[in-house]
Amino acid sequence: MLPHPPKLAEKLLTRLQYDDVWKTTLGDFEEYYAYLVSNKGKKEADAWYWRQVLRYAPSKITHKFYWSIAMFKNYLKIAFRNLNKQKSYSFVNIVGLTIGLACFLIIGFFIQFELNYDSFHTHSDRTYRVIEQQPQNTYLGSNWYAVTATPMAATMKEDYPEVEFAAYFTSSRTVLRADEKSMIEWGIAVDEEFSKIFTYTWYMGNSETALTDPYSIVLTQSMVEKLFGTENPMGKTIRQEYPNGREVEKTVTGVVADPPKNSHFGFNYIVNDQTTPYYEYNLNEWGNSNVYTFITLREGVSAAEFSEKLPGFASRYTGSSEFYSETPNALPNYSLQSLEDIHLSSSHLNFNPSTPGDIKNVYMFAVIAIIILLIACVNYMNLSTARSLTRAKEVGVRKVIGAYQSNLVMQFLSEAVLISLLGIFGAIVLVIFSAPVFETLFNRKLTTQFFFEWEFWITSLALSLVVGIIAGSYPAFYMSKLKPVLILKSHIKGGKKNSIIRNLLVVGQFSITAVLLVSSIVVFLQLNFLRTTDTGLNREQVITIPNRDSELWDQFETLQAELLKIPGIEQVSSSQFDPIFMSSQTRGTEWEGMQEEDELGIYVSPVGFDFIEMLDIQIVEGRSFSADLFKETERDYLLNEAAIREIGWTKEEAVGKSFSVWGNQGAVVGIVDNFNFQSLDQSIAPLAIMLTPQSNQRYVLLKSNGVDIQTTLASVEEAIKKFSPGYPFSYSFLEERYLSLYNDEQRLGSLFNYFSLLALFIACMGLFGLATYISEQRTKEIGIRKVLGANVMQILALLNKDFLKLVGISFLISIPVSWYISGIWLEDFAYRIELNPLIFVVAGLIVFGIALFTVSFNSIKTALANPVDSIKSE
Amino acid sequence: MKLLTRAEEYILLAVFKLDENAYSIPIQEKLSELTEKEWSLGGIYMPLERLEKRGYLSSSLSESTPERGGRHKRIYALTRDGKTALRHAYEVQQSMWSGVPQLMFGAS
Repeated sequence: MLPHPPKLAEKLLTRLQYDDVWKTTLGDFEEYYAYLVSNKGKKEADAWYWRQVLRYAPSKITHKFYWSIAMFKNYLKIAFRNLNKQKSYSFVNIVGLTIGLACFLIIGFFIQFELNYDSFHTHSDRTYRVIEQQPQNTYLGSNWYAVTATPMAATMKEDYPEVEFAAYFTSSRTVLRADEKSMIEWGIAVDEEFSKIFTYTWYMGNSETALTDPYSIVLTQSMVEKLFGTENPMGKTIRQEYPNGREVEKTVTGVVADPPKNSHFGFNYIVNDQTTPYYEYNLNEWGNSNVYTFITLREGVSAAEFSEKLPGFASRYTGSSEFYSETPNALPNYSLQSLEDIHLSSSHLNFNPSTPGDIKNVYMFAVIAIIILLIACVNYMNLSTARSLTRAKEVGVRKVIGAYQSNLVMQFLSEAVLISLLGIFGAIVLVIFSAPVFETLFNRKLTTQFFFEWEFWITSLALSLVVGIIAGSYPAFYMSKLKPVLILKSHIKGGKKNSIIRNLLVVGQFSITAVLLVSSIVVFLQLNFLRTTDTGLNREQVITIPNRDSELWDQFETLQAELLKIPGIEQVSSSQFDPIFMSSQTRGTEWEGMQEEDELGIYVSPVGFDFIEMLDIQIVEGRSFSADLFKETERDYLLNEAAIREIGWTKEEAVGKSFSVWGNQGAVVGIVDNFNFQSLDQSIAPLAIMLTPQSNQRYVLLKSNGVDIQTTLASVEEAIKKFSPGYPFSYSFLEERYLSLYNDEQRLGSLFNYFSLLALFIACMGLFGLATYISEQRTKEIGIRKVLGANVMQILALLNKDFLKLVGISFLISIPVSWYISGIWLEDFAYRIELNPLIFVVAGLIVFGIALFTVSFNSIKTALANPVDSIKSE
Repeated sequence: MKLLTRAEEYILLAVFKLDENAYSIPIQEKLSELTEKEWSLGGIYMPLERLEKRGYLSSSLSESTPERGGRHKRIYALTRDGKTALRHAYEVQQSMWSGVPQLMFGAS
């Protein structure tokens, strides 16, 4: 047996040789190798063999490259020729893919933005928010809270070595005054370690020391511009007034960049928490949850393992508080929530610092993006396979000349990739122009100069490759399988299997489109329902003016009289909470006949006179509040029907019963209708409206007659300024603010509508292309039919029938699916529309009408064509 | 007629002498043996290929043999043109050398 050359080297050499040569040279090499082994030893022989491998490599590589480039050039040439020859077909494909890819990119930006909240902080990956469940305290439908007790952060850091940093902050609106300017602004009050966890960009000042002094304030860049313009703000004095009226002088010690849009909380300034009212009290109070607590775990510490220590923490500290030692069942449970997850996993939490995002929306839009892209891909598949007849000859000739099936697959795939590359190019241009529109619609910053990020280009390239391969795979495998003998010998027919698959794809496209359309009609109707439904409050022409100035409230009666003198003002009242969102809940109630174990969670709204009348709240029993019957020593209460049902009274027996909230003794004077005092995704909870005309409220409420509102408002401002000169004046219309409760839904709803229409549009483009091609194919048949006596209507019917049948089937399929999906979506709303069959009829008519229009566009042309022209041409 | 180079001439001669066994390895061995200098395998592939292209050699694949791992040999054979070229080379050589040995090395 002869010595054998190294296996790997031999294998490589086999690959590197040209097909016909390797059989002999390899044999020669083996023989020579054997000779070398016997003469010069194995080592030298091996070295020689490997040298041969290296020698062959370069020529083989260039050879391979040269020929694949040559082939690719040919593919490209053919592809461009085809694009050019069939302009309308190319147009349909490229525009469809452009729109599809643009939607995909835009939605991609949105999703990327949603998933990257708060990730800009240095330690965001190991920072967690401590959240709290209060088992016996359900508020707005949930007993989980984003807030915890103030001592939490410091105690955690002390007790657990795993905790590297621990900090808390609170968020509130206070009045800031600098020189002559005063404004109400959102800001946060923080403890010492805040800046170690939350790493913002500091323009001025030192992040480590700027907030150590209790009398320091750090402003955001835009706040600096508002307060000081272009002046250097460092060292300037700002007077901060807390809601309770306490004013503190602060010195500007730093300037930070505005918090990025993808932060789950925003602020205009940062102050040290020590000057906040009740700071000392809260510092050791475990029963009062009012701060956001964050901890950064040391590297390598598992959050899951650390979480297991939290129950002990609750019993040790929280349980020691006076409140919880009396009611051990109410002891809170704690849990950790990753900083990066806060934005998308907080919808069940109360007191989020901002409206959290919803992971369901992310999924929904991801699905829409994929659907739109698939619809565009299906267009390409259908049009290419439909046109396969035209290109069958080319395939046949290529095969006869010697193309393998794999070569043809490559060719058709590269054509599809070329089209999708053209598509992505168009899509990027489209995205650049439409990004601002979508930024407003999503209310997110979508583009972070993506143009200059290489990731974006890589992703786009990869995306168009994937899309090209998906769209091109079916046509490529279908066409490369055609048998050359059959193609070249005779005229092959379209193939039944092929058209069945095409019909299935069309049905798929239109079913999905119809589902989207029905869903967007449902969304539209539901949102419209939310906006227009009667909530039991008349918000028309009601103006709210927030004011916390005790000076004003001390003289409210005088102010009221003054305001009523203004010609445009019809009624004046006051309230402590926003009339469209009364959100203060309490368990501190007592009522006549109350048992020891009775407990009632009830929303409370202290209001002034005329509140009921101004908002047209219906009294179903008893009387409204009345200035004539008002007694300073006793509170009057109005309960809603939900409240008396919970207590167990009937309407009749409720009136006159004694009732108290927070120890304010009084009696129920009447029962009001169940009106919606929160947003419509909440069902109506028990509510007590308490008459407190003489205490400090937060809102001045005005009802105007709607005539010359600007003049009226100017007079109102003048009057208010007289009573509260130092407090910033602002106003809003109740109706506008009510509608703004549904802003998010509204925006997402309209986005959903746009994307559905785009999907329908792309699907119709595909139908259009298909119809064009088929009517072209049948030109001669139509001509002969006309000669034989068919009229235009008959021919139209002939051409349209098949397509409309497909659309009809799609519609039937879509009904149960969209019924089911819409049902799920509507479940989230406490107040929702019924699914009216008319919705499906309307959606069906729209899809059908548009499809008919699309198809007829061409078939009419074909049907009207002069048979002489169509038959004579060959 | 274009003159053969010395290497080409030797290779053609080697092919002729080896007859049925004229494939790369024996050719290389023969050349090394006769010229007393090592010829590399690569150094004879190129001239072999060139000579075949010029029509002086023809080649055929042999049956595969077990000792080469079942691989074929490419067996070369001299064509008529090849023989003519060799003869021409020989004649040129003869006339070039005629008379020289007596003058240069003395009478033989």
